[in-house]
Amino acid sequence: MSKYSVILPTYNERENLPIITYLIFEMAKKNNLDFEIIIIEDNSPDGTLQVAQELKKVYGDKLIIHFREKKLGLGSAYMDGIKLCHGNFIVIMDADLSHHPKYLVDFIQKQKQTNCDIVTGSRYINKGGVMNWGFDRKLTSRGANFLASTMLGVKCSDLTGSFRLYKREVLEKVIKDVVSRGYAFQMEIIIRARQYGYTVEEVPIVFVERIFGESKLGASEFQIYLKGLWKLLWTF
Amino acid sequence: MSRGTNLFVAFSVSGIVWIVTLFLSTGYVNEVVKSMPTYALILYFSYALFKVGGDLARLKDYPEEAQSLQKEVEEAKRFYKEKGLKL
Repeated sequence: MSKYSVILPTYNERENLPIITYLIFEMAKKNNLDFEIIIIEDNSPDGTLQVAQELKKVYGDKLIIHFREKKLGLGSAYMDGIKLCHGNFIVIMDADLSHHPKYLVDFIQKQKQTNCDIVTGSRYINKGGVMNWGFDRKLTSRGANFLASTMLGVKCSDLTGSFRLYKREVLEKVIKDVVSRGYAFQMEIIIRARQYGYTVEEVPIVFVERIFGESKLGASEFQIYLKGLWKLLWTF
Repeated sequence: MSRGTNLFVAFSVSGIVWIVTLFLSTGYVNEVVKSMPTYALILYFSYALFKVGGDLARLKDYPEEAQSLQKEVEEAKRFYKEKGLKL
């Protein structure tokens, strides 16, 4: 039977963490799936670690907490998380409830049907969508994806998406080579995976903008994105 | 060669071909060749408008998703309250 490990990097997610944990394990129970969660906690000032420790009383060994002294970024969070996973499949998702765990059932089904190496959630295919986004955010996101796909010559409707299911060995291999940070990090994973000949399938998701906490998205994110995209242009 | 290098070479070669053709052509052909870069830009931006605009027109809002998530948040809170957790 397949085992699924969810790597959940957290920073200031004390309100969202209990909810996302509950939703993941409820989905797993309803669908008879073997899931574990690895929380990568970067010493949040809001007490997320204490919340995680409380949750461990309910979920026991199915919840693994990895504490890091400071905010070290997503890439290193995934690399640290992979070392602690017991599953043969790894899920990467956001902890802020914008990625709903119910879609994991569709991801798993898609993976079983096609035996693909990566399943990625897409907001921009039929039945996908967003909620709580203003028009300018939609335009920026869709425009950024278009720019990336034409400049890099990659066909993927949602290159910057970070809701994905990987075969463990695929993520282990690809992540070692990734050099980008921020949004470009997610794009680079897909590009490298395709270069290695790994198959990527898409599943529609509805992305609901966070209801608790503060978004880490700032005005400088777009600049960082453009810099990341420029770097990728010269990497591949 | 990286994608960046490929694009740079493609643009450079196209640019050189265009300049040479511009100098060698006369009359009506010269007029057409002169306007080719502008036309190429217009084509690209039209394609972008078509693709991005079309997707944005199709991009749906799902208020029911936000509502059902809110219900699930309440459900989760009740679950933890029953377990006696201090969150």
